[in-house]
Amino acid sequence: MYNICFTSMPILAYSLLEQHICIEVLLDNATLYREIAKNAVLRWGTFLYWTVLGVFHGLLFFFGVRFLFSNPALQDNGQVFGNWSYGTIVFTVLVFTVTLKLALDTRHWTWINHFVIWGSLAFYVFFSFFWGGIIWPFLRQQRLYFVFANMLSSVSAWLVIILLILLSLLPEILLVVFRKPRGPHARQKKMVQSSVGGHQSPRSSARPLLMRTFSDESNTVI
Amino acid sequence: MMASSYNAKDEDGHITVTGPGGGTLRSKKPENTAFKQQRLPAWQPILTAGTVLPAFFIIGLIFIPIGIGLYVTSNNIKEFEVDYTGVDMSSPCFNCSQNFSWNSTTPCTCTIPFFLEQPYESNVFMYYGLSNFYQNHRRYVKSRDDSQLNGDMTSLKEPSKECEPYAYHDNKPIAPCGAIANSMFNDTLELFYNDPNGTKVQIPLTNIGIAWWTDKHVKFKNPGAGEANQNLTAVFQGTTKPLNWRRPVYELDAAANNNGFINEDFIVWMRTAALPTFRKLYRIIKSPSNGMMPTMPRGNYTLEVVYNYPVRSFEGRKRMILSTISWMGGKNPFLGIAYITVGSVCFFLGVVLLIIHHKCGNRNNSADISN
Repeated sequence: MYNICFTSMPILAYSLLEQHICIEVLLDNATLYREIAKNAVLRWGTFLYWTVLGVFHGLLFFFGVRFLFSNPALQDNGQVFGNWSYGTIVFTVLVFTVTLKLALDTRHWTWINHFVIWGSLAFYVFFSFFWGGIIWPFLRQQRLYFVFANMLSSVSAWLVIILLILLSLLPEILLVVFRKPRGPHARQKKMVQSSVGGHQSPRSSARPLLMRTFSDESNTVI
Repeated sequence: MMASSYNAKDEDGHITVTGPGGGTLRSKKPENTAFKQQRLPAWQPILTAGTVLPAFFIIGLIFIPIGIGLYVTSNNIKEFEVDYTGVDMSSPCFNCSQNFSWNSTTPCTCTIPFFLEQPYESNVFMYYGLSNFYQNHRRYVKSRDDSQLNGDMTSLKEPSKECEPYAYHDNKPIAPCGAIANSMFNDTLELFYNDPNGTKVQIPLTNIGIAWWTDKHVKFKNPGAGEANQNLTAVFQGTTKPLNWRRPVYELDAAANNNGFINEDFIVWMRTAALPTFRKLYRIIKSPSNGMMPTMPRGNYTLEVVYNYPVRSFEGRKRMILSTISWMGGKNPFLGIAYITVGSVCFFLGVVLLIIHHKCGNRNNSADISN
């Protein structure tokens, strides 16, 4: 379910439609393609970054909910959550974090990207309600009956979900802020400075974030 | 790119081109649509300092009050815990915890006095807590038959294979089957208040409303539930009780709406806990109807335990917990502290980024001016 239904469409749309360098720049500077030739982007640094990030996320989700469950009475009627509620909270945080991280990485938002990203999240929520709302006649075990809906009725569960999603995306946001644009964007900057009368939009995206001011606005490509 | 003229495209999308020399070549060029030529209208967000910095500040300013609210609420929740395992020789329940036998007919009782410092207002919730009890063990969690517990007559007589080896006993099906049901907590806890005159008043405990509503009314049903005037003893004819139980499932409670599979203590136990140290709701002490007195005034109390459940063999512990409940649930300072920490970190990062932004911005401006 996770790989096929909840997280497959956003990455597919990202891989097909993403343009972190605009078409005009690419057509003018074909040498940019050398940077991705022969799997050059598969470096140890990138791999280690993603692995460490994954481990960090896993530890954060699990132990975040574990400390919340040191008192499992999370509802205002005193009733207690079980292990399926624990797993549902962790899984919800996981699906939302993964999809929102991809949303943060997407630099070129077409309607398809909007549709698959927000649609995947909506599908997860609706499917969870649907799956947990019926006593399935062909199943011997009814483990998740009403677990998702009951989890959403607890304020503490909502708060921990929001906290963990934000905390897990924080390193990503910090990296975007602190990292100078490397590779193609740096070249963009150099090329624009060398050419006379370069237009505004590539230059603004090439500056480090902290140097970009209010005049560098987001642009819409028609 | 060689110049070529487009002709009308075929149904399958290939474009027929007239090449030099008069022959027609099929070009594999994709159609000139926005989707295939990657020209879809798009929004390209460019993160500027103007968007990111206020976001950090806003998050900090929202999270810190939430954290403070959570922490203050958690601190105002009153909780009291009594460990009655009987590990020490001086404990009243020490004798009960030794030499345990499942078959003993006379139950062992012990009495533990305690003192409540603060009066407890509004509803007070009584939990039993167990330690070192892994209700989240995979094989244990699977060992149940939900269709039997839903009142299915076929499953009643033929429990699922997941319940093995707690499915049949003496060639009779066990109802309810499985290891979870077999290990049900069966201590009886009662509370008495020793008021200043010296009389011992029993505190009324409610055993309804402790399980999830959907569990009690939808997921768990007695077999033959649709019939009127059902006699549970007759319905469960042909089945036998779980091995570790003293009474069969149709004698769990005298009240008809709390007997059989829909007994709320049973339902609460069947909702397996997430961690090895857990608590489960046992009874509710409702606040008195006149509203003037606290539910549990400050003073001396007595806990009377009918000690049935053996935990010494696996180094477990048993506790009774009295707690009030707020909008965030039970007493847990973790969420408050976490929100305050994250809010402060975000606010601090916002300040740091603002300083860096000013410095970089000034340097940038001065460089432009000098150019």
